[in-house]
Amino acid sequence: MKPIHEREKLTGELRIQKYTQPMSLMLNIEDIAPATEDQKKSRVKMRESTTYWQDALKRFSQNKVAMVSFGIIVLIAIFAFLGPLAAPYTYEQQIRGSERLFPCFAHPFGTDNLGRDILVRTMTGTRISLAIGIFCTLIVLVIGTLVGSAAGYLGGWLDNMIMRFCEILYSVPDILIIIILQISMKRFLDSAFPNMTLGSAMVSIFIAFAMLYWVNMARMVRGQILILKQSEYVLAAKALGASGRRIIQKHLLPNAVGAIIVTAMYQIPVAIFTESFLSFMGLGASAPLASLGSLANDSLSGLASYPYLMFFPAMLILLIIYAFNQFGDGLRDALDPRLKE
Amino acid sequence: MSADALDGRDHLLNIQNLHISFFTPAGEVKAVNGVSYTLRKGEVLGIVGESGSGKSVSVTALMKLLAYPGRVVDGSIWFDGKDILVQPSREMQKIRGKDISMIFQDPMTSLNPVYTIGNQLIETIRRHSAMSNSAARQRGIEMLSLVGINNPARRMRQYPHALSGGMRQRVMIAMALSCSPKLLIADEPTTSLDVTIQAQILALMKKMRQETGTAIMLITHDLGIVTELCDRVMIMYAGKIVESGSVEDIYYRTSHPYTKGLLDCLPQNSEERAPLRPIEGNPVDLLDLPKGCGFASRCDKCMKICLRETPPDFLVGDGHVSSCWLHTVQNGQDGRGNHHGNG
Amino acid sequence: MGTDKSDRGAAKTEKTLLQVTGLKQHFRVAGERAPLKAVDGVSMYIQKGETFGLVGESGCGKSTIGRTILRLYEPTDGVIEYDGVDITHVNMKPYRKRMQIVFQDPYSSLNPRMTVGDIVGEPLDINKTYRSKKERYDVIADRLNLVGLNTEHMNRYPHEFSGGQRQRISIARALALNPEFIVCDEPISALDVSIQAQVINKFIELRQDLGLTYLFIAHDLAVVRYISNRIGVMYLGRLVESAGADELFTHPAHPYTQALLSVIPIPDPKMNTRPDRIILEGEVPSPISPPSGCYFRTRCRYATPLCAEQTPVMQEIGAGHWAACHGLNGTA
Repeated sequence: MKPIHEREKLTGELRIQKYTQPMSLMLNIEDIAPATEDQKKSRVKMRESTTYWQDALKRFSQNKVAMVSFGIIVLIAIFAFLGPLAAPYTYEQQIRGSERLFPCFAHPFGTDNLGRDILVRTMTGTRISLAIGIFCTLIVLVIGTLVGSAAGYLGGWLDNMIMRFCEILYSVPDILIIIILQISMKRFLDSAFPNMTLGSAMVSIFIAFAMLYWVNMARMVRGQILILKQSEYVLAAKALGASGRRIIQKHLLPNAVGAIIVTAMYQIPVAIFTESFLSFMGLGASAPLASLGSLANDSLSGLASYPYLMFFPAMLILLIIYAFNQFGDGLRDALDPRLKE
Repeated sequence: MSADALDGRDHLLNIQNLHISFFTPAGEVKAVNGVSYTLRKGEVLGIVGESGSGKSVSVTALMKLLAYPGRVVDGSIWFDGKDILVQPSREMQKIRGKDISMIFQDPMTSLNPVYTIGNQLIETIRRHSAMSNSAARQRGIEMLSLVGINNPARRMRQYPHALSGGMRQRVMIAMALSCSPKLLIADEPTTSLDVTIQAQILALMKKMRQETGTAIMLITHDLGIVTELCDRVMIMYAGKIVESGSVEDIYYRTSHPYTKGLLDCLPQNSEERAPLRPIEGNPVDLLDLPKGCGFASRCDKCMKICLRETPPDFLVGDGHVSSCWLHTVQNGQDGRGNHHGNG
Repeated sequence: MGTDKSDRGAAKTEKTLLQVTGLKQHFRVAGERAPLKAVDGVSMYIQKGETFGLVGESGCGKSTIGRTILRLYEPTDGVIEYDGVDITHVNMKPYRKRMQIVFQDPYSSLNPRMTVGDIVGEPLDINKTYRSKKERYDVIADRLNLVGLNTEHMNRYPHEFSGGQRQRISIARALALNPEFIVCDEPISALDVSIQAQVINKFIELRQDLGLTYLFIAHDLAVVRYISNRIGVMYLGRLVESAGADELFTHPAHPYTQALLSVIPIPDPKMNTRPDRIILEGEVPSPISPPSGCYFRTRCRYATPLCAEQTPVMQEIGAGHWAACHGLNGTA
């Protein structure tokens, strides 16, 4: 918009609009010849056809914060999964004579009181965090989507039962479940898999997440299905004689998939944070295995003298959770159908 | 030709060369492309257009309620001696509700479901006047009975969901008129209502117009409603005014091919079963507005120049303006005549 | 009501394609003890090749009738006969090919994640009516051509089309299986005025070319008059009057029909102060607790005590002209 002083100075006295008198303009004889159908049609172009996913990809790639977050996630994944392979030490290797080193060229993150390389241990810890995140998402996707769509589509008493069950699970504190699981399953797990590197506490965390975290997804999917079920295209499919299975597969899930992915993405940082928190409290990874939470916990005793021991794992937790949250926001903006058109 | 009818001396509202665009991820959607019009005190102006014609958007800008990513790109809006576009938002809040008020298509979304009708009515009245609570309540009850609501004192205590659609629209009208605004904007006020309720609301608006002398801008897609209520009509297409004039100008001395198409394309409620004459083609893409006249691709009288240049506004009669190149070769109105018999 | 012979609207004839007798459709509403009586005892018939228009205000049950006839809702009571067969409780699978529906909202009636080709091809996929991909393609192309679209549009998605084009896609889908009967559920209400005429012309053209029978549901009275042979007027779940299209418009018998016709906005300044205009007072009562007797009596200018006591039955007042009103007998 032009600055005010440049705009027409209209103050009470208003300008008379300029009008043209009919027949007052002389036009070329060619100009008043009728336009051909082709000329008229050429003005109405259909835009380049784009699918939903192309559209979403375009929107996502235009979102700078989301793209940076995505880059961070990729870097962290390389750091966690490829890093340990390139490193000259393993996470449990105690290097004699190199205890409690400050960050230096040989040990960029320093070493702990047993001479273990913090960089490698942080890599391993990050790997556990990501594994927890990915595992959780997969479980949530499969169980949540199945249960949610069944409840939403079939409705009736089945829906009632499932939703009441979900509400019960939802109201139980997950920390409590994890602790109970750990205690009750420790003996069984230790005897069944005596040489497991993960440790029974970590396995319990995986099981607990699998048991608990699908509830959110199931509730979301059910809500989506209930809304979509009312849509006229579903009614039209019914009028065509479509089976329930076809309606779910072709009509309901494809339209809910954006919301499903977004919900699953938001689940990742929650799972990672909970795991870190539990490990920090000493309820997760047990020595010699390291997770970001337990690394932070280990550093507590000498925090004043060796703050870097806390700094690196804490920074990574922060970075991972920030990146996944921003990535989730970006996905939501890209996939949310409400922003379409 | 007398231009007195078109100058701005006693004008309540003067909009000049308004351009509004929405800056979406897909590109710039040119919703309004150079719209100029004026409104006199007490006048009832109908703005007719289809979806995407920009009829609602221009009015939203006048209320300064244009939401992101919409923006006024160019032009000026003067209301009652004030430049609306430079008013600070505090000033605008005073203008909205007191000087300009608005009723919408869906009265439910514009009433707050957690407050009673009375609460909302009293709050609206007190926000713009120095009335005491009890005086405002009295005024609210008066307004409700004025819009034909039985037992207004009881209705004041009810919540919006307890009322039917027609009732809610009456409440909206009462609320809109409670501060005696200079201008009432009605955006498709009867579109979501049934014909019998629509008839009630139109009768009510007619009555209110006579009793309060408020200027009204009626935005609608229904040409039938316009004739019931309006003095002057503007027809919009693709963000431009294609024709404007008195109701009689528009119906009996139709000048623009689009207006003709609109009037001719629907069945006339008679025993005649001649094939309908639709306006062929589809609406233009506002993201990629072609040069020239926006209606060209659907116009059966389209000429070469229409594809290239935007037609100027031709003054085809006293206060009757049509924007079409045909007026360079013919003298405007070709009189549709009155072939609308009563069925 | 409903089983009474005089309530039938008209006798069944050779040419009758659809006959509905005493149809009721009640819905449970959360928090209400009484059911919502969306359709409350409607009897009507549609002959082969005919277009039957159904008009009424929102909530009068006209759309519900269309959906119940296709058994998208299971009827609470009454009988639906299609082509001489009682289909009220049968498996609808064989009838899905013969009876189709076009919905009001061209935006919500097409799945946004499917291409136009797949949308029009869906009926073929469901009923497995083709042997080769080529055959499927040919049918889809043919139906798109019928409605004025072409094969270039097949790989596009609904959001790339305007409202009118989308409604054409809906029609193409309904035509895919060569149906003989189509329920048109307010197919033009959501369209722009300039597009409505295109779609109406298309419906008429298809009716002529393919010999279709329509149940045309709409609230735009002039359009219904234009397209229909006979028209039924509904109020609060009941049919109050039915007659030939022009007969109904020129000689409306029921007070509700009279009021409805008098308030159609006419785009002509000379008509805007019609002396014969009847503006109904009040609102349509709730279908959960309708008034006793005649449902219209609370807004009727002629209501008498009898109207509150007895439900009026449909009676023939002229050739093929039926109405349900006590006033017709001079008793009101």
